[in-house]
Amino acid sequence: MRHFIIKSLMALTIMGANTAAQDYEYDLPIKEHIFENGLRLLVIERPGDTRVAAKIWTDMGALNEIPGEYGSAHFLEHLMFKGTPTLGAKDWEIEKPLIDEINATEKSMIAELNRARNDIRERGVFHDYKHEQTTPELTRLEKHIDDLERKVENLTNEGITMKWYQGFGGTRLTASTEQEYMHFDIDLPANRVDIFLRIEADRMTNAIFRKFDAERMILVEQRIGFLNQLNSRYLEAMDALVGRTSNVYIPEGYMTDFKNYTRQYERYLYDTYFIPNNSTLIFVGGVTMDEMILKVEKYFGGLERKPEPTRYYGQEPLPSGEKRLIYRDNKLSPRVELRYQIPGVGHPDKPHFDVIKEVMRNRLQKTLDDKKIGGSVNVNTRVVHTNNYGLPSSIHFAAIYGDTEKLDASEEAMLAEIKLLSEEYILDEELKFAQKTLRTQWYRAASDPNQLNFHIGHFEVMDSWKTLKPYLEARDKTTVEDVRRLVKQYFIPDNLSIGNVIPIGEGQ
Amino acid sequence: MRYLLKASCLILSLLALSLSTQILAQDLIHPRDMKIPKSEFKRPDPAKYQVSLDNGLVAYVAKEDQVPLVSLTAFIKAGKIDGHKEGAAESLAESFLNSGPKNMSPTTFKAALKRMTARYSVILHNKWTEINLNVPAEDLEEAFELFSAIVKSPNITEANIKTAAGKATKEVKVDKNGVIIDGSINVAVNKFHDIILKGNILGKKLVSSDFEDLSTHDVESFYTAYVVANNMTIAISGDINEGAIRKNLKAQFSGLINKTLPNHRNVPKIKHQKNKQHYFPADKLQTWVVIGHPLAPVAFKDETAFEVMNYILAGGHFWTRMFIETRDKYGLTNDASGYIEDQWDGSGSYSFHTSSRHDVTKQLYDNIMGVIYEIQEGLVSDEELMIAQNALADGVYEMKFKDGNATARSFAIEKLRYGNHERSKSYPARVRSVTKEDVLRAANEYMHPDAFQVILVGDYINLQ
Repeated sequence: MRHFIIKSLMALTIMGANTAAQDYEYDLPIKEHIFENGLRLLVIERPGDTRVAAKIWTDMGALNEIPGEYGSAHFLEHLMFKGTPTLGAKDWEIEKPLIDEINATEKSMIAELNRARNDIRERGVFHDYKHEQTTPELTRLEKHIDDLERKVENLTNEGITMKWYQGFGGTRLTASTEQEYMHFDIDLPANRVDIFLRIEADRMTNAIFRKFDAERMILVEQRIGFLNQLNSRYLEAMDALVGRTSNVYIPEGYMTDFKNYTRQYERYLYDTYFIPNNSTLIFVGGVTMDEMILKVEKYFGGLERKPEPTRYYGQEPLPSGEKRLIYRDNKLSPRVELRYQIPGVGHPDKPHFDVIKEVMRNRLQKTLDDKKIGGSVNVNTRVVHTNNYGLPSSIHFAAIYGDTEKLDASEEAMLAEIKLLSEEYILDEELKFAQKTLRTQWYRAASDPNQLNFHIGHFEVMDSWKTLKPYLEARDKTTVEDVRRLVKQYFIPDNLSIGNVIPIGEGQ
Repeated sequence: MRYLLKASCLILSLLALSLSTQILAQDLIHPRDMKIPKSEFKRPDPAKYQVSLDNGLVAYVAKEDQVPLVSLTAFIKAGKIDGHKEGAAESLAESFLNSGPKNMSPTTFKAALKRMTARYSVILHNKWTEINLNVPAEDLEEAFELFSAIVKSPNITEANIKTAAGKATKEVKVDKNGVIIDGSINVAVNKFHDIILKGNILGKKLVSSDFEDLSTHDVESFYTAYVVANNMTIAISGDINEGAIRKNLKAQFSGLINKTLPNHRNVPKIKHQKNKQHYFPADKLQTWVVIGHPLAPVAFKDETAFEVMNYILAGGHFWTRMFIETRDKYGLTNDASGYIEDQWDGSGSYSFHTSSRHDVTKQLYDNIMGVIYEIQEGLVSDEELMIAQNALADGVYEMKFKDGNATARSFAIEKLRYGNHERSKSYPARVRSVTKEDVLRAANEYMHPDAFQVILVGDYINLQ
């Protein structure tokens, strides 16, 4: 037995010789090149990788939408899959006049729609009040567009951009639009990166919005798919409770928005934001910066710099009172949730909230269990779809139960625990464990070129790719004093939004 | 003055030249005509990763040091359908997952995982089980000890049998009218399995009494019968010292015995049933649809033809016939894709999954069936074949070996399933040798609309 232990120890000591990971630094050898037209190129070279994770990021998203058009940025992403004159057209010479006629007809339709809508005096007064009325002319114009779309359909090959990506070994073909960005993604054999540049330069410049109305229904499908989840309406209600002005708190389109989308407005978004000086190409994998500069120049060098687009400049007002949502639902598990508004990426306090999140995740569960209140604790910073914003968002502390019996006690205990965080000494080991958890999470993300690319791009649109590494390092340097200061500053009643989920009929 | 004029002209000319070189014409060559090079990928040599112990255990060790993490995975060729006592596999999986090794308490085990910030999972398949542990490299010593101990001597307890019983006998929640409370595509897929596997060992439903009769001794017997050196493989990858890992593998696992295994349960061929629609009400905004049937074991010679056929028809990506005819052209659904459920031996299933708002479900169904009949009636195009072959050989296949972690995992699974690495070696050539005629034959040989079971979860509509 003793022999076995010694042998094991010897072997383990040998293994340990290569694992001084506590000294590991955040290894982000990002190279940057900015072209004359303003296009930014970021590359992480990984010699030996046979593939490359490629993404193109555009600094625009739901933040740039206006009321009544929510989700239009996401819709634009869908439309940008519909090809260009050189991708998808069977005969562009025949198709082009039809596309022009569709756009002209839509202009007439918008004018007619506005006229009809403006006849209604109290439009928009409530969700079930009529917001517009149809007219014979509107019906005629709609039918004309429909007829033209059918003609275009016969002149089009669908799915053409994806087809060539797939045909050249592309995988992880996705695109995503969030509050602050849109990106198109692919993972390719590294020596085939030209196909990405060819297609994306074309997509950025020459997109044709084919199959507009059919695609509109895909957004409806995605929306109702989301609404089918038991907690979606509650989460949207909580988002709305916390925020006041920022689109960060608004979902990607309500049902009433989808029918409002027009080619004209989508074209405005496209022309304004899809320009080289508002875009970033990011590659992580088996390519070099030197080769990518030449290749990117070949496909994007001909694109002109355009006027700088207007960025979102709304400012979330200071919170000024404790708020509570009582959400009644028989299918959703009862819960209590505390939310506090916190700053976004770019603000020096933001990295410390990641640490607080991890500290509280452990503390709250233990406290509720110790007090025999129990429940399933969830601590997160997720609003709508993503965890990080360059704008104010919120940190959430929730406990979920099988019934309502413990809700009051849970709320009281969670508030007390948050208060303790500002008064009581936090154990150094608690802090260290939270920091280790965050480091491990980061390593798991960074081990995948696709996810690493995502994080770099995410930071670039929220703040700057250059602040990603300092952000990660700042989390490692969070002190007990930082935690206490932030808890005192942010976790105050005036900044608190409370959510209660209870069954229908209770608490009335 | 004249000199100045000349100089100005020269400057203007140079400026114009400079501008013309800056604003290049956009290169819009069609992808078909681009001279895209062949992929340079070559499958790694498994021998470079392989460690074979004298007791027959085979491991794959791969260095992948982009980040300081390490993955340790054990693949065991024993799953839900194995063993002579129902519920034993489920209970063993729970023991692996919840209580760790015998030499520590479950609380200490959980605390160790937490301390290491480990990601730990146990996945029980029909015919195999995997134990995955991912930790920071700084915790490798402790993690390796823990991982070895879990595999070699799991702490099998009554509590784990109870937990397994709770999970295995869980039913879909319905209201007093029998309406499914939280419908989803998963519910529809589970109903599909219930229907096609009725009476077959693969679809066997465990009941509480299975677990009431089950003792820890039964679960121990299952463990000692199957978790042996010649019935498992191990994959270790990440920021490691490969030499040290190889040595330690020998130190930790050489003691595992190699012995004759009990026969795996024979899975009778799943019989096709006559085409039928099955409806399950759910109060939701969409209806979920699964269309499919059992899949007879696909002959080795047909495997790649069937894969290529599925890729063209509905292969789970954007450019497929089904995706285009349902989503792109008509906006009927967010997704309609085909799924080959491949059993390690015996029958599997082939099905198509989709969802839609209620009022277009019939049209969606008709369009799906339309492309299914179409691919059974005529040859695919040269371009479709080329795209599918490249996508599978240069895309899906390459991703299985995209880094050390993926490579170690792929080899370990392949070894456990087939005993060698010939399939992965020959895969690209086999995919590229598929012809249009092969695709047509596979579409008719392995897809039978007259045997489709159509599952609807949501609103009722007569699809026939």
